[in-house]
Order: sequence, then C-alpha cells, then structure tokens
Amino acid sequence: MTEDSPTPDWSDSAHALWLQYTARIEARLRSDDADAEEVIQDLRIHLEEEQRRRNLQLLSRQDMEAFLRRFGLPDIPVPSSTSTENPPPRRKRFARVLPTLKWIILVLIPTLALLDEAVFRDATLHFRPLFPHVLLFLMACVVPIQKALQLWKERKEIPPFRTPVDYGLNTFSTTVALWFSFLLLPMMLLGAVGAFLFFWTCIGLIGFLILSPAFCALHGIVSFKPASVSPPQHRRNRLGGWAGSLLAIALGVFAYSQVWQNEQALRLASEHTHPDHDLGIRLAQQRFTTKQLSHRLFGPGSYQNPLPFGGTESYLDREEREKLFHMITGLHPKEISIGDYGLLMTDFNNQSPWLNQNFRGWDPDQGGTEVGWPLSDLELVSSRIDGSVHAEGMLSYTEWTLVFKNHNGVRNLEARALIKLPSEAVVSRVTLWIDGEPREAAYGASSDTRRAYQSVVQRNRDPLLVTQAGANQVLAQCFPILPGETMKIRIGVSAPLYPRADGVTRIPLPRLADSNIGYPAPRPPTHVWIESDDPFQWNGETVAEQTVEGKRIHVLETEVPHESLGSSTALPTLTVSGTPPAAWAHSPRLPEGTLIQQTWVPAPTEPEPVVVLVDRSTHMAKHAETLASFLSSAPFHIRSVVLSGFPPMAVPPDSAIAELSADRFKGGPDPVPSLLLALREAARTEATRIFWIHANSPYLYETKDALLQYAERRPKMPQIISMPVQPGRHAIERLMLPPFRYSEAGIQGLPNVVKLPDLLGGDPRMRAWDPKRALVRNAPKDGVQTSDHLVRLWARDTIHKGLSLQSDDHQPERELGVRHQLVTPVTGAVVLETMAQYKANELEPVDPASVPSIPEPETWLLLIVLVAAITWLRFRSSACAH
Amino acid sequence: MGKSESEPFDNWTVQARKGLLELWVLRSLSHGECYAYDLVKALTEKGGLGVSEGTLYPLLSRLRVLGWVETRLVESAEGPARKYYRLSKEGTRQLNRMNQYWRQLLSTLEITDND
Repeated sequence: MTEDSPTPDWSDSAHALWLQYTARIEARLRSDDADAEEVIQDLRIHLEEEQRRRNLQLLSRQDMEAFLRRFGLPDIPVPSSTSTENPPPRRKRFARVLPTLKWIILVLIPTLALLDEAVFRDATLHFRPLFPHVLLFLMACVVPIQKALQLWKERKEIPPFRTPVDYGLNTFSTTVALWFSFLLLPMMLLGAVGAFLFFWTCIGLIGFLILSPAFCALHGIVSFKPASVSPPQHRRNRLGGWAGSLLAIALGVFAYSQVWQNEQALRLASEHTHPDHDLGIRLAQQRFTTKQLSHRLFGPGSYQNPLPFGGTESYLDREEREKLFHMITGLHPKEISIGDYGLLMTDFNNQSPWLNQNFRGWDPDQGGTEVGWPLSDLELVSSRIDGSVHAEGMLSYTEWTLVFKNHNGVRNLEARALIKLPSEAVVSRVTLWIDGEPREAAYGASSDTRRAYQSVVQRNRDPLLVTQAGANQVLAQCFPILPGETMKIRIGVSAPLYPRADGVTRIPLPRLADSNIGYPAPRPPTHVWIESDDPFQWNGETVAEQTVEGKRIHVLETEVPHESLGSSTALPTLTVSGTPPAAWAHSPRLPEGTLIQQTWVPAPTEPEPVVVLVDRSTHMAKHAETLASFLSSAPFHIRSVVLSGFPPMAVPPDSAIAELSADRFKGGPDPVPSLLLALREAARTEATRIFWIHANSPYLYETKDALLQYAERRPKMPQIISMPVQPGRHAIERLMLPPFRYSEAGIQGLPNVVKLPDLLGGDPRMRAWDPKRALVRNAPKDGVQTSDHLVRLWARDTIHKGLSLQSDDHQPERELGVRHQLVTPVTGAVVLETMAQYKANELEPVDPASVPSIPEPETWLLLIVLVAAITWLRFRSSACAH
Repeated sequence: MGKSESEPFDNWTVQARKGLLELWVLRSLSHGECYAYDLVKALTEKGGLGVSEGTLYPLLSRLRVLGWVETRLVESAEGPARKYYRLSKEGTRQLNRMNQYWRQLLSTLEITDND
C-alpha cells in the first residue's frame, strides 16, 4: 500500500484530514535538515501503531483530529550553529526568490528552448538537429512538465517523491535532460559564458537556453530525496525510478533506431550504382510519408547528419535531394509546399536551408541548361501567337511572342522556358526586343551560341538564347530582366501538317512544357491570330473569311486560356480529302538551280509488333484500371509489356494486367532502366515500335550513359512513341535525339490514349500519309509552289538523318542548320546586344529581311521591292558620278 | 493588547526545552536500541518537556541525517515495519560532549547560586 493511498482502516474523511496535515507539515520540514518524507512516514507508522494498540477498527475523522491535535505541527529548531541567530538578510532574500528562480530556470527556460527549437530551429540550424524524430521532441517536453509538477507540489506543500510514478517521472526527465546535455556538451562552455557574463542580454538568454537541459538534469539529481518508507514501498519506488530511466533509454533507442533505419534507406536509395538501390527506394517508400520526406530532405537541418554520431554534414547536394525525393514519392518538389511538414514539423519561420541556400538571393540555374526552380518575382505578362497555314504545302508557321516581367526590386532575373514544338517542327526565327527594337538572332553551333550567351550574361547585358533541348522541344532563356522591367521575345516555328485517315489535320501550336515563372498570378491567356488562304476549322466550325489589307483570307482571332494551349481539343484543324497535293518551294539558301519538292506516300497500314512500356510512377496510379483495360483490349499486336519500377520488369501481355493494380504504382522510377529493357525486348521480339505511356519524369540520372551507349551500338532503333498522361517536363526527351526515333503521340491524357486504337480505326499509327521531301532541279509538273518553310523542314530532316549516322563529325549538319537559320540539335540561336559582342564570339546576326514573317510577302511584291532597290542604287551611283 | 506577565517566562521555557531536547533524546538512546514508537511515546509522556510526536519525529530524522543516530527497519507481523533507533559512534561522541557541557553549565549555575 502506498503511503498516500487510502487505508482501509481509515475513513475517507480521516484520510483527507491526514493529507491536509502532511501537506502543512511538509512545508515546515523543508526548511529543516530533516527528511520530510521520512518524518511523514514515521508519523504515519506511529499513527497506525496507536490505532492498532487502541484496537480502533476504523479510524474516524474525530479520531484523526484527536491524534493530529496531539501530534501538533513540527517545532523546528534552527540549525545548531546558528540556532540563536537570525539568518542574514541576503540569505532570506535569496530564500524568498528561490522558488521563482526555480520556475524560471527549470520550467520557463526549457519551455522556451523547446519552443525556439520547434519554431525557429536555432539549435538545428546553428549546431545540429536535436529532434530528428518527433518522439525525441515529445520526450524532451516531459522535462519541463515534470519540473513544473514537482515545483507545484512543493508550493502546495505536497511531498514530490512519494510514489513509484513520482520516482519514474523524475528519473525519466533526468535521463532525457542528461542526454540532451550530452548532445549540447560542445556548446556548454559558450552557453555558460553567455549566460553568466551577459545574462541581461539576448546572448545570456541563448546561453540559458543551451544550459537548460544541464540545469534540469542537475536539479533532477540534487533534488531527489528518497522517502524513508517501509522496505516493500521502498522497493516499489526504486522500481518506479528504474522504470522511468529505462523507459527514457528505450524510447530514445527506438527513436534513434528509426532515424538510423531511415538514413540507411535514404543512403541506399541515393546510390544508383549500389546493388541494393532498388531495395533502398522500396524501404524509403515504406518508411517516409511525403511530408516526412520533404522535411528530411528540404526542411531545417536537412543538410546535417541527424544521428548523434558521425559527422554533422549531409552527403546529398541540392540536386540529389530533389532527385531522391522524386524517385521515392513520384512527386516533383515543385508539387509540394516546402515548409509544411505536418504536426510539430511545420517550418513556421520558413527556415529551410534548402530554400535559403538555393533560392533566396540568387538563381542557381541561371545560364544553365535546365529550367530549374520557379522564381517568385518572374511573371509572364503577355502571350500572343500569330500563325499562318499553307494548306497547299501542308505547312504552318507560328510566332509565339512572350513578355516576361521582373517584380523583384533589386535583382536581375533570367527567364527560362522549355517550349514544346509540334511534331517534327523546327525553330526558324528568334527575336529579342532591345530598347523597343526587335533584334534578330545569330545562328551558330550550339556550343558557340551558349558560350556567347554565357559570356554576355556574366556582363549583365541583354542576350537571348534558344537551343534544342531534346526531341521537339527548345529551351529559351533571356537575361537580364531588370528590376521592375519587362523583356519581350519571339520564337518562330515552322511545322509540318499531317493528315489523318479521316482527313482531319490538326494545326499544332507550340506550348510551354516547363518554365521558371513563379509569380503568384494567373497566367495570361494567349491571343491567337491564325490566317490562311484556305478554309480551316475551329471548334468544329469553319473560320470566317475576312478582308485584311484588301485580301480575302480566313482568320481565326481568339483567346486561348494558358492551360488549354497545346491541348488537342483547342487546336484548329484543316480538312484534307484524299492525297495531299505535291508541292515545291525554293530558297536563296539552296544551291543554285535547285528546289525542294514534297510528295506524299500512303503510310503503311499493316499492324506492326509493339512493345508497351508502362510507367508505374505515383501519378499513373489513378490510371491503373484504364491501363489494364487498354492492355486487355488493344487490338494491335503487343509482343511484350515492360513495367517500370524498382526494378523494372518485362512480362507477357496477359501477365501484365496482374501487375497493374494501383498499389504497384509508387514513386518516380528512373525511366532509363525500363526504356533500356523495352529496347532489348523490342530487339528480342522484333518489335518495331515502343509505346511509352508515362507521367512526367523531370530528372535524368547517371544511368543515361547506358542508354546512349545502347543507341550508339545499335543504330537500327525501334520507333519510340511517347504518350504522356500529363503536361510538363519529361527530362529523358533531352536524350531522344537522333539516332533515337522518338515522337510524341500528341494526345495528352490517358482517356485519349485509350481511345487511340478506335480513333485510328484499329491501327495505332497517327498518320495516313507520310511526306517525302527531296532536293530536285525541276519543279513537279502537278505540284504547287508553297512557302519556303518547306525548305526549312527539308533542312531539319536532313540534319536529323545526318545525326542518326554513326559519325562524330557533324560539321555538314551544323553548316546546314546555320545556313537555313534553324535551331537544331547541333545549332542554336542567340541574340546579343551589340555588333562587338557578335564579333567577339565570331557570330553574325541574320539579315532581318531573310527571316520568315506573317503574312509572308508575295513573290511579285518581293520582285517590285528588288527592282525598286536596284533602280535606286543605280540612280544614286550615277548621281555620285556626276 | 499588551503582553501578559507570564509570556516572557513561557518563551524562555520553550527555548530551554528546545535546547535540551536533543540531549534528552540522545540520553534516552544511550541505554540501547529503541523502537521508534516506544521512544517517542516515552518522551512525550514524560512531564516537563511538553513535546509532541510532531516535534520528535522531525528531530529524530534530523539526527539521522546528521549521522548521530542509526535506524533499521524490522518487519512486523502485527502491523507496519518497525523502525528502531540507536546511537551511532558519532552520536555517542556528541552525547559525551553535550553531557560535559551540561555538567559545566550546571556547575556554573551552582557557583553563581553560592555567590
């Protein structure tokens, strides 16, 4: 029976009276050298002995009152040495303020320390992570709570250590405080200096915060006075004490073992070449929620080792963390809210070093080849597309004009936009407005243009660079957008039109695949103007004819919301019946007496064997059922199904459906191993196409070299048809240049992908006709003349064919790209500010008269201009002669 | 309200009792080990000192903390464990010093009386 538990031989009221008495005498005993616990226990034993000797079966309140009246309150003599003297006034004052001091040092400051760590993460940011597991934080919270309870009991004159629970709480709290004192040991000296030399300043407060666990541990040891109780009670109390300490140790070991296991999983997951890499990913997927992982990788202290042993530095840099996060969760860090990590882990003060070190004050991706992270001060303020359609040549030309604004008050910003081009299109015009004047680009080898751009960026002058960034996409980057200013660029795209079997031909538009625009405002709609001499449709209706500058043309003038741009349903269409006409075009950039001829041949109609590659990343999970249905009902011949994952696997089509349950879609697998497996499966099964159904995959990993090696050694590649289920960036497209044969189905969203076989009459191919473009000397008799964009598309095809050949010398392709003023895998476009800059970089801006425009000048108009110019020059030279 | 005539005297007796209390307890234990209840009972029932359990137990505890007395617990079939007190070596030494001082004090008082 514990000493303050009701005794069966006492009435409740007697017990209550006893408790009141012990509380009263305890306060008196505290100022004495006597052991309060022991005295109370002795008095109780005395009382029980009296009761026994008097044969009182039940001690009533009256009995208790009588006994206690006789016992009286302790008459405490002062210590013998000073028994006749009063304590000095200073000691008296100290005794008065001591309880308050105890509350401040043992409760208030530890609470402040915990709050500071929870909110501002000072210890984590400036020293080391103290609470890598939430359990450790909760354990630390017990310390001030236990101290508050103990001090409250002292104030209420209740003995603080009477039961096993009291003992256990004290040893638990002391053990925890000792552990955190040990962790903070290297800081203790500084803390002591701050606390005692500058105690009236902030430094003093910080010092006290550092010392607070040591104070609590010391108090836990010093203030502990075991009660003198009966041996069984003493044994129980001792057991309680040991239990408290052991519980603290066990919880601590559990928390740190969890952290250690998490770290081991992350370490394995981050090592791509490690044989257990896939195991690491799977373990990390089991062990971390998205919020926990974002806290570990991007939160405060994430750049430090969270374990109490080993160095404090982390082994992951910024890019590795982003990749790892994506691989484990399947999410791009842009998709989550950095700083929101859930209960007790919220980064209230936005102290993420990942944000601070990488994104505040500078842009780590500036001048690089990646779009990188959005800049919150960069806005797209205007977007317009002007286009012309040439039905006779099955061509279109669109110019996309974008205006960026820098809302930052101090820093210059670089805008970067990854622009998705229509299939097999080419950038044929690049313009930057400098001081309100449009300046055309110079074209050169990709490396030369980038070098020129970077040299000018370093000097904060105005350049614009457009380079090929994979199959059918270019990266446009311009710098500097001055604080509060705007920057205007224009990208011209020449694109072929491909009629389908039903005659419907989409007029494709470029769209943004990714950008670093991060200003928190809705993106502006794109003002679209598309004109054509021939009728075309928009939203199922033929676009009306208008008279523009005395000419009757069909004009589509509309606004397309940003999110709809590039969507298949928002594209205008052209109806073509039968075989498209043969066409030809000439250009001054072609050899003398030659022209480009385009004819059409029917696309093969026999179903071709395919390998289906299914991305099993998180974003695909919602499509699991649809995918299974797609694979079971697809009419064309599927030779093999490759499923990405950790690791990827190749299975027969009938076994694939079992592997497509929603729970198998996890993380963001590296696409390269699964693509390699699909290529090998295609080679094994003699499949000529790979249908790749996938979500975004924003990163490339070290494994890309294996893919490039495969492509170099096996030039006869199957065609890879990409079917993205969401808009955005698919980094592997950067590699999908010749010799890869890569194209995008052009239809986004899985429902459309599933409809694909129906749309194509049971055949998955996209086109009913394939164009043949050739350099010839004579125009075809039945052909019609068309725009010189045909020449640009021929040049683009020729360059891609050349690049597919196993050769390291691509100088002919570079020369062709520069001559035709195109952005290709080997050539880029750059706009610089001055002629001196062009000269320094051995580049030459193009003649503004040689770039495409909308509307294109008629041939007769060009001749008139030419004749007028020659006449004027002759007149001028004769005038000078006279 | 003014102080009664006996109040200074009462205060003096209280102080005198307090001063003698430790000597008295130590002398009681000088005869041998004693059960706490019996010891306290004997002391409280003796006239003259007017002490209660509420004063004696703290005193015993203080003496134990000082190391002048030693305790041991003995299980009892009849009730709670019994605590026994006995003088330690230090307690015996202190008792001898107190006795010596007490005798000096008494002789001083006798000399003064004779004067």
